[in-house]
Amino acid sequence: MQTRSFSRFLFNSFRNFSLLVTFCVIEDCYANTGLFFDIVTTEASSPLNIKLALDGRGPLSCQNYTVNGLNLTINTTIPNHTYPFAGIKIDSSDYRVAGLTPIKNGYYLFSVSDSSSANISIIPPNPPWYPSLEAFEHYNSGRSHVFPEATFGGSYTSANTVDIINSPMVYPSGYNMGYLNPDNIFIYGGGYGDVTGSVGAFVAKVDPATLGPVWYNQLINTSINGDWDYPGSMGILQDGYIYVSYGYRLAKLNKNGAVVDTLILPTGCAEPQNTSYNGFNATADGIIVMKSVYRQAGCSIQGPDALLNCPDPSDVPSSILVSVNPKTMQVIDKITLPAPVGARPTITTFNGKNYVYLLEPTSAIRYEVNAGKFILDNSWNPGTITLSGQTLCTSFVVMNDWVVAQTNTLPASTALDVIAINQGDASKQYRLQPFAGDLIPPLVALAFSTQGPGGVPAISWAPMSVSADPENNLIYASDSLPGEIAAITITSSGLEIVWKANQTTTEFTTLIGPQANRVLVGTDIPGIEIPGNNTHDYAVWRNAASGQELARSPLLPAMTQGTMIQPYYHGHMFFEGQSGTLIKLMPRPL
Amino acid sequence: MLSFIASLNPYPILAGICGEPVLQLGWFTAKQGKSQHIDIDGLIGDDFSVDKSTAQNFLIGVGYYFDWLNTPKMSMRYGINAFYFAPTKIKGDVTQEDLFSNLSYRYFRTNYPIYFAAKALIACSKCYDITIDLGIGPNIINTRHFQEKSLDGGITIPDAHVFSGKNVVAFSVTTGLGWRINNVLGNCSFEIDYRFFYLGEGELKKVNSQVRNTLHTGNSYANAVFFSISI
Repeated sequence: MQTRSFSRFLFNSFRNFSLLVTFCVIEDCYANTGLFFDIVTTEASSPLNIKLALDGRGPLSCQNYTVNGLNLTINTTIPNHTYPFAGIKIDSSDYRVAGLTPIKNGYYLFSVSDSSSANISIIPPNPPWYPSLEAFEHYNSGRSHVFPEATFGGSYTSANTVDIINSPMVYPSGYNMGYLNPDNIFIYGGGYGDVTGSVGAFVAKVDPATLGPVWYNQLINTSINGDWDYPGSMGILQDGYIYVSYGYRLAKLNKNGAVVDTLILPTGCAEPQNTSYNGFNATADGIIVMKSVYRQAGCSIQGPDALLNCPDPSDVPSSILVSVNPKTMQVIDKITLPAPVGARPTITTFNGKNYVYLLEPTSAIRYEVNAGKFILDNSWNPGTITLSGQTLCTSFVVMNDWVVAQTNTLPASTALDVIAINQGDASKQYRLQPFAGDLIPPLVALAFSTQGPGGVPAISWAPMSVSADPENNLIYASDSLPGEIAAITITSSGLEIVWKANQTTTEFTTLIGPQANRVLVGTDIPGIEIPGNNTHDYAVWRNAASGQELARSPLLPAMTQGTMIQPYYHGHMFFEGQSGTLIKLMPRPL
Repeated sequence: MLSFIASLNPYPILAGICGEPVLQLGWFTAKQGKSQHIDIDGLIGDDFSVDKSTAQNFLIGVGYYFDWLNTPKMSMRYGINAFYFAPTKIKGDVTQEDLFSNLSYRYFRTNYPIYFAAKALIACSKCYDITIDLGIGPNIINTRHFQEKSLDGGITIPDAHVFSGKNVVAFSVTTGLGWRINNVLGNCSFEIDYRFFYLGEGELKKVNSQVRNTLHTGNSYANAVFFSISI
């Protein structure tokens, strides 16, 4: 009995000792470890691996974290110390951080402490476009015009001023820009053959400091061959190549400016010299989609003027819709559309399918794009969407389940409509005339007294598409004749005006900044000048939520009409002067 | 072949020199490492602690001694005696921002002391002597293979570029006692020695401009036991 008790005592003692040792070992291993950061996430996403550093420059004192949201509120756990150069690096290279520019080691720097949070917005991938601040003319294939990585360099609450730098040489009728990163920036232009000095498409790499060209590749000289010189566009796909559409060609350039391949596109029933593919778009799986527009046969007018001033601009064949494999630079599919289509194609993925939306003169159609093959979706038919006296719509912009467009690309005698059509059910439509009945300045009214359809007075003209901010459920519409812009929201009962402001523009608007501090940027034609014939512009920054003007540039030369103020890194933007001067705009607090 | 092997015998060569070559092989235990705070620009900094302040490894030495004084009871010699202390590991924890011991670190230290040495041989009998050694000279301290390791399962990432190895020359002294058996094999003598070494302090090279002060090895002391063969 005593032997058994002693054995039990020994066993229990050994067991307790073992547990104590085990506990001590575990306790010792993890006794003093700890996390540097507390993270609160919103806007749920799939798990994303990030690195956070107390100092991102080294980087030093780094830890791995997995987050399940794209909006991060970050604090440190170390008391009473501010980390002015904390850093975040996202392991997936297609993700970026809104409003911050990465340093060479890939970290985005920010200031944070235990009592002062850092709010970090992670930008998800934007397929098929290269993961940079701007790789496609309107940011994404849905043409939202929201550039979340761009920021406003000025103050949201106090007065600002705008510094400018002019390029030392001209980039004639600069159209759009694209970036690989802040140091590798490119401009496409030359497509306005009706502007002095524009002789065909060019692409140039721009020194972001001096704005001088690093290289300049004139792709074609239409003053020699007589081809119609009409704006195409430039975009950078995920492969890092620069794609440029001009005339009936699609060129693929490397970042050193060398043309890797050029595809001659089909011209349908028109002569090649009268054919232009006005820009391109691409599906999420990387198929380029392009559509042709035409100059009337026998007309030699150059640039966009051909669409207005040829003897009968409507005497043109139906447009051709083409899909292209960018790897092989070969056409995958080609169809002839039911009618001429002016507006550029808009692409989105809805219910797992890639759709391209197109606007015909009075209606809209969509095709499914399946591995590059076009399949007409007859189930989506919004019917006639323009009213009598209205002219055709500009491109659709995707906003969540809706595609949104505004009428009156050409001067119109009926007020502009903003039209939202549900992607799931085309019969579900909302429309609103935000500027109906608004006063048109007398000089403008006089200038457009015979510009409406059939020579009647025009009361509306909107050569730009809307911009749309899906995260804030806001649409931004403009009309050049009353000289107004408006923010509009979609409610369950229809479209409602949130704010309106006097601003006369013939260009697209740009949305920059994080969701909570979105800023609307656009041009404003001085009051005494006539839209379309203006020689000057201002650049104006507004609080996108309220319409309050935040900053205004000095008087600038007129911008290339129908383009957009280009967002850039560091809170700066580029203004493409029609005469070719590239201007860097740098708003800052006074 | 035999003549070739015979030609490798160093004795005929060394015998022509009026001194005594010495080869040494043994074991040492060293006290080393230094807990210290590293200041880092923008951060509070890191505390580097030392887990284990002693480490052991082998040493080898080579010397050459000249006769200086000879009396019936004692003789004195002087010469040069250099050692190679095989690398020893210094390791510890890194307490980041004075709060979290998320990392451990380690690096290796190797010593190459070269002494101007003096040796006293006190005759106990015809066959045995007691030896007393003194030496003073530079010690070339080599540090290398600095590495950090996560202690929290990989959450904390070791700082990739903070310190790297460096060669430093420090002041060093040595003193010791030995027991010498004379003429064990012909003219060869055999000696068992205890030796104390002060090896001085080395440092690592900081390779990050944000790191304000570098990591020091601390003053190192070694106790060694080795065998010597005098030819």
